[in-house]
Amino acid sequence: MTDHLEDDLRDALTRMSGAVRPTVGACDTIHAGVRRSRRRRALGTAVGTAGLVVAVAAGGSALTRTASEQTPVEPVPVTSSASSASPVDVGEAATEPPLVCYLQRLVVGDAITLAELRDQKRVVGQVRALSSVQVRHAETTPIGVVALVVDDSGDADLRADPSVVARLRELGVAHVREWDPAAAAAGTGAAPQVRRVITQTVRIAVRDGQECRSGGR
Amino acid sequence: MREGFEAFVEAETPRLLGLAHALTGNPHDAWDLVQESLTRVGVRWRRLGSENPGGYARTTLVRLNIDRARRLRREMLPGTLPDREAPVEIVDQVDPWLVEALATLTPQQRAAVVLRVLEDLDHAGIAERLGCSVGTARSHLSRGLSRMRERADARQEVGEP
Repeated sequence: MTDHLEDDLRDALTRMSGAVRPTVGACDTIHAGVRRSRRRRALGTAVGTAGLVVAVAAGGSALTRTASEQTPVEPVPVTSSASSASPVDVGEAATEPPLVCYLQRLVVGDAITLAELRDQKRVVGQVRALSSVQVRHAETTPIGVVALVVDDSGDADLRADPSVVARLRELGVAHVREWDPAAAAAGTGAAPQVRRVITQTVRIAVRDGQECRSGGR
Repeated sequence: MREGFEAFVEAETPRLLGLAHALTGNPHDAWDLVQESLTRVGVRWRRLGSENPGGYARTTLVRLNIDRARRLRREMLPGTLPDREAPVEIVDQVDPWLVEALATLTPQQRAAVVLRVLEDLDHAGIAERLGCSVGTARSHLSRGLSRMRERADARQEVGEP
């Protein structure tokens, strides 16, 4: 074997590599693995987004505290503007005023300036004109532009393809989700699906914020 | 799109399994590596489908095996009971000397030797699969072949066929 090591090794390794064969088709197992992996990635993205929102909320909260310390003016009770908030929001207001202020801004939508709205409308116009990505619906919201894209993979996973997400992010879309045809067939159209995205994002942020604060006490 | 990926999986599984078997030395770890590699291709299929999914799968498999070997620092020799079942069958006898000789190499050396001999890759190709420089790949291959040569010499000295 020493004279023709590579040749001899080639024969032996070729035999070794041909010595095992799969006894079942791998497709089902691999598809299940792909779905699991996508779910894990989706969870990671959601946690990252929630972390960002919480960080912004915490920053806003700290600024509010600093401002109130500098100017000892009696703060406006947070529940006074909560008439349009949901019962959950009111419940939050009783315990965590700064965070609730932030959430009410998100839900009610009065935090968007006209300039921001103009920017978001421009982004919506751009993504609707895309031919490379099938944007089923795009809408301006208090948490930025939400785009619902058409999925042609046949996968039940509700996360959009990473390359599509990256392309839309480049254009300024804040949240990309896949259009849910089953929900649409059941009567949940574009606007309710966008609301669902906002609700999910805010709920995750609230939960993480509460955990963060309760852990910090 | 789904059909394309399934066709790819059906076509590539036996070849990837053979490569993984040569890299790991046991069919169970080989099957795990093949599954994980194909899963990672599947997650990125929309991007990779029109490019070179086979190359991506092989590169992933080789690097996963190096990570696995780093974690485990052990190898299961023939006759050792596996800790789980894998849907693979052994259809040919593997030379125990070859398995033992390959087991003396580091994971990188073993990958370099297997890729050179089995996949017929040059130094640049091996470097790409391993994720290292060409010089490092050359060093892994040289040392790996040298160690295999030593084992072959020792085998001849004791008069084994």
